[in-house]
Amino acid sequence: MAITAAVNDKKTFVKDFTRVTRDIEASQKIHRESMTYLQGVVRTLKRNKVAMISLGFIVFLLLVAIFGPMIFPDYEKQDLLHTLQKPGAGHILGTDELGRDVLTRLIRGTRVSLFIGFSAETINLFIGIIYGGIAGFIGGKVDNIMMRIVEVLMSIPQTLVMILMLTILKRGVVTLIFSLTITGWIGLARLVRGQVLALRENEYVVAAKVLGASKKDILFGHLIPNAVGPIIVNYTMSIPGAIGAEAGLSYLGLGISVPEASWGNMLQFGASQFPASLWLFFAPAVLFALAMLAFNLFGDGLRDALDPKMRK
Amino acid sequence: MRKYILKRILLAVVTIYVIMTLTFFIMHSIPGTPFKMGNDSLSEDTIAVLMERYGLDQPLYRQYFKYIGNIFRGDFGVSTSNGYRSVSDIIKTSFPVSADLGIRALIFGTVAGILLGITSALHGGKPVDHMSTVIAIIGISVPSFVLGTVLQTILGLGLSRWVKLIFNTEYQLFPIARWESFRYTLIPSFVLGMGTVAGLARLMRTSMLDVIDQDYVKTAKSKGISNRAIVWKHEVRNAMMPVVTVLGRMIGGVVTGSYIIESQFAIPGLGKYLVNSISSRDYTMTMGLTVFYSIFIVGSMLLVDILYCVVDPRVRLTK
Repeated sequence: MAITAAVNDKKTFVKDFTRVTRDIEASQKIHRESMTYLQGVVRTLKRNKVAMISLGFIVFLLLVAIFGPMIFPDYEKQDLLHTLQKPGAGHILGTDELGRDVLTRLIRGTRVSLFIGFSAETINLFIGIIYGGIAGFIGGKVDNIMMRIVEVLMSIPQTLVMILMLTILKRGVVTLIFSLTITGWIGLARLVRGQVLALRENEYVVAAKVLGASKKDILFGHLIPNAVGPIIVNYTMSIPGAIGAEAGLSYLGLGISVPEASWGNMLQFGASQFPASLWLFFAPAVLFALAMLAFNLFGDGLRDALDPKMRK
Repeated sequence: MRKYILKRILLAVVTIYVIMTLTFFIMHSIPGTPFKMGNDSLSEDTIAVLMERYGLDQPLYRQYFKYIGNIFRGDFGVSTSNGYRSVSDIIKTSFPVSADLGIRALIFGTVAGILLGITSALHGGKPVDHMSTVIAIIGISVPSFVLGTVLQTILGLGLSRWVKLIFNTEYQLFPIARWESFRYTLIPSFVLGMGTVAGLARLMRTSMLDVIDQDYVKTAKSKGISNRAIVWKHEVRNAMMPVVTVLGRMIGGVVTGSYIIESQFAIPGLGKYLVNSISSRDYTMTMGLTVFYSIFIVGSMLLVDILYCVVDPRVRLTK
């Protein structure tokens, strides 16, 4: 009833409101800071607690890999009087069958395993970007032939390639990385090609062409940077694969051989002593599992952050 | 469709041929002869006779054509570490065991993986979802020999010790070695299937989440169809498509990827021979098995691709 009364009596209606003068400057002021795509990604990523913890752990592992062996250099030092000691005051994680300190070896193993993972996948990254980029960008017959080659290589099981290479070549870190890269780049090459195929029809590519940019500049200056999101996600997720492959090969005696330490050969030795010397198994197993989780969860978070659909 | 299938078959043949050729030249790049590996007791004359006997004195191209011809006839040469038994004979007796293990693991892995993926997609963001993500990532990242060791110790040895204490029998519910009855297959199949569970669960989850947002699901809901029917008839059925695509790759991977588990559980399958041939530097065996495995993997991928194309009309249209 009050409303109808107010409407009927126009004077009261107007009196209840005061006119606000229009302030053009204030109405056009942007309150929210403008944000580039990258800033948005970083913000979303920062809000994802799981991804941030994972990233923290990965950074921690990298620091351990780089600086750890400088502080604990004696990973080969044997102490035959104190073999298979349980974790305690002298050796925080105990000693192995030759009296080597497990913590020191674990630190050394972190360096070796991460080195294998990162360098193999970085090589794969470069080969994949160049191969996939060229195939997708040139297209037509060249693309057809390049993709047929990829399909053939894709059918060759990676473990078998690795086993073959490690049986005939000298075993060691370099051969291991080499055998991981023989067929390892294929997934990335396919991904990059798909991205380039989708992106090259965009207006900014046409604009770059019109402005006279060379093919190389268009590919590496425009197309690849725009495809960088999925590429980074793929890179992050493939590192644990490479580290895991080394562990699998260790079981066959084809991984990194002692006295050098790696997560793979420590796991293998720990598993062979299970459950008599539990610490030999659990120390590498827990670290290994945590590292795998961290890489995978960070990759997941990164994918979500890079996906504009997931933005809030 | 016929053109597509023909193309696929041609590609498979080329792939197998490339693998055969590569293995041949890799084999020949190893210095020395197969007979002068560790034992230098053989005299020069004996080696010459052996080289002639196995045709190794002939020029490379003739050896190559003979090798290709022999593979087509199913002859992979002899295994030096198994008393010169022929490789194809070993494959014949031990591949069925590997295939048996692989199929069991595959059935377990597919069913469990798909169910886990569905459950976690339906409970997106809740603890069940996080749990299954963790299970999936652990399944992907923990090497099978680690999982196998833990299960062998806890379920195999630990349990049988308790059984012996309480019931005073030697009965083992989960034997940890050999391949005899159903009980023997449980742990190895579980361990081998775990990778498939993990991979499929993640794939199924993303695929389900994609489908749940589709308009036809909303239509089905607005029609008043029961929740259960929507999940199984509309969501799961459509979400299965990408899963079927990767299945071909997985069949090959699971059946041939069991070498670690086979040697760990003393299962007389092909994988155990592969591991042994590597450690005893039996090159003919390693190479023969590589070629055989590749043929199997390429073949199973081809089969699934063709079946997929026959079953799903959408694939036919896009190709």
